[in-house]
Amino acid sequence: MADTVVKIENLVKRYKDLIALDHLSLEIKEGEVFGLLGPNGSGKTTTINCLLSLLAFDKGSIEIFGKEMTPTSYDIKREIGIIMQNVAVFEELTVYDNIDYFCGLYITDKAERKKCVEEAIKFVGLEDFTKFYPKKLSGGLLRRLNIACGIAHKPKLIILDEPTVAVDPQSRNKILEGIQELNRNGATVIYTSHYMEEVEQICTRIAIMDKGHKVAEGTKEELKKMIKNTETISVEIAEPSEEITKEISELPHVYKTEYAEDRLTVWCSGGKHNLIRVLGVLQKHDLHIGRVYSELPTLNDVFLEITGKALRDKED
Amino acid sequence: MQVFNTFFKVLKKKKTALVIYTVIFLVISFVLASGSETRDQFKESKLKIMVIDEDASAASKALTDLIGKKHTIKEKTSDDDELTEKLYWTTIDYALVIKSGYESNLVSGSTDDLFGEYHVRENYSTAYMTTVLGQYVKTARAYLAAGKPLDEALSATADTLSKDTETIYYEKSDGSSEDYSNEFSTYFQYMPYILLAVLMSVLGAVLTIMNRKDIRFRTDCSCTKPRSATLQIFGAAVVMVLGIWLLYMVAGIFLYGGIYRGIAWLAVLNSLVFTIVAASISLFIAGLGLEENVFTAITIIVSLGMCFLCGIFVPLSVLGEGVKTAGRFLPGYWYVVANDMLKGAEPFDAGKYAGCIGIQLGFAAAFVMLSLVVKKSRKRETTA
Repeated sequence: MADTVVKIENLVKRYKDLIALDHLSLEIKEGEVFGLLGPNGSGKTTTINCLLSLLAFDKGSIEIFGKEMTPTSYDIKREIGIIMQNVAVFEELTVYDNIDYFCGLYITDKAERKKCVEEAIKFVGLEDFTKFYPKKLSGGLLRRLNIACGIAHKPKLIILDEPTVAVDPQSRNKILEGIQELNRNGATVIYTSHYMEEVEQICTRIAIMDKGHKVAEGTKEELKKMIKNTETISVEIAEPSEEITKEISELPHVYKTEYAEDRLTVWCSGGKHNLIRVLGVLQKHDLHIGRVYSELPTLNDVFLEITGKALRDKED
Repeated sequence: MQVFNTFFKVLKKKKTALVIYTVIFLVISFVLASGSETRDQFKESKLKIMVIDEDASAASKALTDLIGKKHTIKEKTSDDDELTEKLYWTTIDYALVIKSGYESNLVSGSTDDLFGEYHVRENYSTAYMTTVLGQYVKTARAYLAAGKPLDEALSATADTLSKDTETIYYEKSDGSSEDYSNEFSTYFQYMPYILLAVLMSVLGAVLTIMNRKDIRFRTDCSCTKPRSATLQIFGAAVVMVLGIWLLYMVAGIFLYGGIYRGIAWLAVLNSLVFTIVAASISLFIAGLGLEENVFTAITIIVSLGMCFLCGIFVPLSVLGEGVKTAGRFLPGYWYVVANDMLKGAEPFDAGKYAGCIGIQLGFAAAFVMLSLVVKKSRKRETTA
């Protein structure tokens, strides 16, 4: 069984009257890509800040690599890499100097550091930009620089706090592939995001947070099993009669139907061949069918069912 | 030493302001030094005075002769328009009217209304002549009151005032003034401006960058102790500040072709203390974490404001009392008071000089304390 890298027990953090973390407990095993998923304000960043001892908490305990994490746990900090949402680099230093600076905060030996910096540059694919200043880099390249600054010292635990916010899809994919490669190279990863697709794509285990609580935890498959919905069928048709809608509602495994914006949506719970049965009813009544979608539940559905609200903010 | 080294890498990118300010300062200092008045030139710089002698007495002639010894007596005119024009175009600096009855009034002691005057505006010439005439009348009255006859009293007055002038000249030529020449005093007079402008725009900018919230966050997450990072930044700042100060001290030597001597070292010390003050102000303002444009605006306001209020750009002697009162609450004022003593604008007093140094250090300590308070409150904000 893999060792526990991070163990958070009953963590409570209050900001005056607001409870930011309410008895949060998490256990992250070695080699995992652990996703912390939740909307803005759910407590993800507060959890990370407590984990890094940048924020004092009111109650609970945090252990990393089997040792209690305190602000002076420099031996533990040596093994942690942090990549934040904001690109935290010096505008006045070149790509190389930036990575060298942040790596130098962990590694004092010049030769060793040089090797690490060069490897990090290669890893993020910035070989052709080492003498560039950040202002000259595109948004995607800047994000890669940000990641290189966080991982150059070869940490065993990498914490990424929403690293893909405001990143174009191409760069986002590269970043996600990079994270998976870091994980394959042996690093344990904690990945916070409110983008469920990303979390689904790379995380081996996920904790869903809301208002400082952990509302669910497990693999994506386990999480999806926690909810009623197993399939959502959408069919573009002209508005069906009440009789047709009723007939569909009475099909096996169908527990909800809705017609909106020229689309009939049917929610199913379990069973097989739900799509064929729905289409069969529509064909029987000679309805002209447009596009048809059959979607498996997403983490957003999980979040929606557990908390009663959508995971993603409107602006996202 | 990663943080220490990076401080200088960042500084390298911010050196433009340092170079521009320094070059402008040195060029201006050189020009001012080349054009500055020496004591010899001052002697030659006589006022052009028109004397309108309505009394035509022995006493009025004695006064006219005395004025003529020190200044250039211009041909008199009775046409008011012509007189006004001459004053306006500075063909004459001052027109003195020795009123009818001058001699008798002087002897009788009725000295309230002995003279009339014409001048275009209040300036040094009028202030100077008012003082000289007042002194002349007081001295003459003293001799007359002592029982001397008029001719002897006037002669003695002329002698006394001549001796006074020699005495003043002698005082200005003592060893101290020689060590701290006019060139040096001009250079040091404007130094607070350059120190404030350079340190605020360069040191302040570098400190702002090094303490940027996201950069500091990464540093705090690392295994470098926050105290070590702070000490490295502090060490680098000290090296930089001393380096800039030394640059100006060495430039002073090169510009004026000689090493500092005697009392000039007190000016060097005064500038070092003000450098510490300027650095502490930079530290405080950098700690506020302002946007770059706001930071630049504050740099300009503080540096220029202090220079205008504290007698750096305009001599303290011509500043109004209100301005001087406000200036006392700023460190630049005490720098200028010390510098004025050293250059002989007022008698040198070691105790007063030490007081000026102490007050400046007090300001520096206050700004450092304020910086610490700001740092603490910002940290609280960050973690809240």
